[in-house]
Amino acid sequence: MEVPLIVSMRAFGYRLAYIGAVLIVLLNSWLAYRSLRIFAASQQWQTHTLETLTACEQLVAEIRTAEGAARGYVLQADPFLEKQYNDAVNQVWDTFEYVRKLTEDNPSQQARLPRVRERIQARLTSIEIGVQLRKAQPTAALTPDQLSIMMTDQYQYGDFTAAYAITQVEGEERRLLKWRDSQVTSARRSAYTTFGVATGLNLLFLILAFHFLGKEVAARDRITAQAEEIQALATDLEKRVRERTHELETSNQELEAFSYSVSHDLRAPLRTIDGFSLALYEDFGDRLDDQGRDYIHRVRSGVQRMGQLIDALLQLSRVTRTDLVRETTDLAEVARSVAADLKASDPDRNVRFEIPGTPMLAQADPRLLRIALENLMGNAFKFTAKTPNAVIRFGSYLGDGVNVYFIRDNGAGFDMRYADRLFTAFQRLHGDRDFKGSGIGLATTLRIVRRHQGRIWAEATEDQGATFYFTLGS
Amino acid sequence: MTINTNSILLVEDDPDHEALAIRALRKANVANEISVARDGAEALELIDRYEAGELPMPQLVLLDLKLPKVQGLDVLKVIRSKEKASLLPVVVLTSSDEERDIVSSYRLGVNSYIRKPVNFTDFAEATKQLGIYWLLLNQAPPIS
Repeated sequence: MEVPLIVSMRAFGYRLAYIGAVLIVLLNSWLAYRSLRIFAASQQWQTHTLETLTACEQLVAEIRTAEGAARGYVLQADPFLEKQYNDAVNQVWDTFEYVRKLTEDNPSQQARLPRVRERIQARLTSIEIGVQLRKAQPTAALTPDQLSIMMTDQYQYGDFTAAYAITQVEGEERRLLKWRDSQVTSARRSAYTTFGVATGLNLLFLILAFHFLGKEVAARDRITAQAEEIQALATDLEKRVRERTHELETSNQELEAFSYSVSHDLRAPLRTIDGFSLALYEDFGDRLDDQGRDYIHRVRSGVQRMGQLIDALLQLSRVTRTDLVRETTDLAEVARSVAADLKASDPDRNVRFEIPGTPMLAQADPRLLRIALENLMGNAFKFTAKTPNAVIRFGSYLGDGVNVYFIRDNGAGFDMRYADRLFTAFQRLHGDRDFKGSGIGLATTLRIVRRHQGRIWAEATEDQGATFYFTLGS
Repeated sequence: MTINTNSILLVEDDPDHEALAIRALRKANVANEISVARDGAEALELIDRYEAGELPMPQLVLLDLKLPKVQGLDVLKVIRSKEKASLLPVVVLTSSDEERDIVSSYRLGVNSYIRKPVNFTDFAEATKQLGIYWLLLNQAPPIS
């Protein structure tokens, strides 16, 4: 079925809108997911930075522990303190390694670490001097020279360069922490915004979708209502058709009753006139002169003509009333039969009929077609009455995909100016003086052809003949 | 009961046509006695009397279809329903050449259907043939 352009364009538009909406909703979801991920990553970095800071502070504390333990060992030569000192040194390097690992991602921090290592090493080395001295003489008191080494401020209060180097690492981390805090904040804000916008857009699309759905449902309801209306109209139309059909049937019945009356009642008085005219002639003819007898003759021929007219009228109405029954009919055979009847009706006439010997098959009502050919061939027969070598030809040809049948004669023909009046009842192109006729034959033929959904037309030249063509529909 | 081989029953409402029919029969040298029924009811009455043996059975019934009171086809129906009269040769003589009339007549068992021509010469000729056929050639059923 052909879909109207406007409908298919609307369908296309809806499809486009649908795909667009789905894409935008997907994009929103992706953006929201992305901002969530950024937010999570920023938080992770924040945690990482805090861990680094804690590790740095631990490193400083451990150096202090090592210093304290070393000092105590030098003063008291307690092996427990020596062990504490050694553990603290190991802890310092472990923690340094931990810090190194934590800051692996940051090149500037990595650049600071060698200096930190160097300062820690220097500090541990200076502490180690006292520890080595005490190890060498665990029981003897230390000499003033030995003690003086340990009495320096640097030794007493520690070398702050290591702590300073670590503080620099810490400073960098604090700076990072600050930046990461802001990162987290902005990621959070961006996540909120994205979620808000995405939710808003999704809501908008939902609202739009439901809005259009509502419109669509309304339109569908409207169409349903219209369909119901059309259905109602159709039902009404059917009812009216039934009523009209009934009226038509009634009027057909009336027509039939009328025809029946005509065939009985109009003919009955004619028979009386004719019968008694003849009786008058037979019984009293010898008492009349020639003129009187001629009058009786004229009365009787008048009656004959009227009888023929009534018969022709009856045939015309019957052709309209009877059911059309199409069957395969050999028109050539019908034509031959009609020709034989015509010849028999006037054996003295010298007319040559040219009818194909081969079958001329058509889907037509044989009885109606016989009446049509009787009229057409009867006309040809009649109008060639004054033609010396009369020829009546019946044939067919294929014109515009349909079979065209024709009856051609070389008789009186007619003036083409009056061709349009040929098929009207009671219209005659020749006077009774020349050719007798009812003026109903061609009207009857026209009805028969029309009932077959066919067409009929004629061509003629005066005194040279006429050709009647007809088709029989499909 | 005597069989009157010479009787004809003519059922015809129009007196003109009756006169013309009788004239045609006479012209055809049919000398048989002709009883006339002027309408369907009269015809049925006669048929009852034939059936009862009050009147002699005719040899032929000439029946018009369009009749006052009782239609010709109904008269035919009654004739065919009678025990004895059902054997009667019935010829429909009518001005109708409607197919349904012809078909109904034969369906009801008419022996012949003749359309009355307008031309009296033709009618006289038809009547003559009718007389020759039904009264001379045809072997009538033995009705007692």
